[in-house]
Amino acid sequence: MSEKKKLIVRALMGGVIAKLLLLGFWIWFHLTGLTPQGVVPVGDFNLVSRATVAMFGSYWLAAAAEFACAFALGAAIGIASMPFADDTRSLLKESVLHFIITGGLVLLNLWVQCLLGLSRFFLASYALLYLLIWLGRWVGWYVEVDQIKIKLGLAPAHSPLKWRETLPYLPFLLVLCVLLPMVLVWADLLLFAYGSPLLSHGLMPYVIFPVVSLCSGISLGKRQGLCILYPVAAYLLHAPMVFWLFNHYFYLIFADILFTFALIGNVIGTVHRKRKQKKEVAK
Amino acid sequence: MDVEFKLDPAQTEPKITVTAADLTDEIKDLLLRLEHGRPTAITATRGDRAVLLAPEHILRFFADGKTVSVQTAEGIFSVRHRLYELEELLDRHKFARISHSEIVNLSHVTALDLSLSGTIRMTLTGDVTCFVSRRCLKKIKQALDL
Repeated sequence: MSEKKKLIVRALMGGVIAKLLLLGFWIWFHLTGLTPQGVVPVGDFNLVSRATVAMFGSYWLAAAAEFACAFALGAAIGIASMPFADDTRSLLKESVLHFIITGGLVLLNLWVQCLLGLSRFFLASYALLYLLIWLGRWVGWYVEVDQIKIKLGLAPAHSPLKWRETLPYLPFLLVLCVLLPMVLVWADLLLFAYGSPLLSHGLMPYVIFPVVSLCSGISLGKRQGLCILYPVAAYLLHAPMVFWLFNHYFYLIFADILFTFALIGNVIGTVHRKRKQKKEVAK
Repeated sequence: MDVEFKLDPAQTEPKITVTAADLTDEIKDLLLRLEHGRPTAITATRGDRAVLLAPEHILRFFADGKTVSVQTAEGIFSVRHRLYELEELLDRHKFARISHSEIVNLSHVTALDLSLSGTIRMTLTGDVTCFVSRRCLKKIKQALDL
């Protein structure tokens, strides 16, 4: 498939998925009675928010605007990985341009949804997510380049406790263990001031932390083998945040979750790497 | 190395047998060359002068518009082959495609650096600089059996 076709297909898929997700969010908000504008009666379900209809003066115009904006945002997200795969040296320029355009679309969507009051939170989350993904890709390339350098005899062998091999993952851990909790606590205050902190006490420790630390542990294990410093660093980076943000030692369990899943992931990745090496030796 | 030729009219298809005490890297390379017809030298031109370049002296091949050039310590020459043809001709463990328009000799790599902006700069012998496509990192790893 040519690059242009790939671009179009990804943009279309992104747009469709974004629209379906938006629909899903609205259904969830109305079923739970929780919305950013406050509690609404469960029976008062509508595909387009009343505020948006009031702003556009017509239901169908509001629906069309909402659809177009959500689709555009989804399309922009859909093509996000294209600059990374490009052969050109202009990755940073293309990424910055993409970041700005997508950020603009996020703001546009917030305006259409009459949620501009939450723009700081959404833009901060968007920037954090973008940074996380960018860092994740960069770390992957760093590790690959390092492997090639070692094979070509350009770099020294493994460092003690593999601290050098673990270092590229440190920025990623900082974002996951330090920045993300701060943003989610802030989000909870904005979105759920009247209820329990679903994001920082629910989504973050029981979904985001296990999944992300497991995957990043697997990634490091596959590339560098067992790096015990990685789960330790995850624990040590998050532990102070527990006392600062949650103010109770009970929440050290969140740091335990990070440590455990990072370690499990690293072991899984290491086993996979050893099996692959054995297969290649057998060949 | 002793080279012997035996004339046998009954042998309709030429057969080459290599006898050695051990399967060394030199023998492996010889067998590969015999099997795949790998060249021992690349014909290059500069102006009206033609030269034979040994692969081990070649730093890189690069496409310059419609022509393909080869760079050694002595300078830059032109070759008749296309890059994809060179990819097939050359030893894939020693020469790797690093981008759409370049093939480098991995034994001449002196540095490999990833910048914060994501560009991967490769330095060859004689401070020759080239840039590695992120897409081609996998090919380089395959060439090095990683």
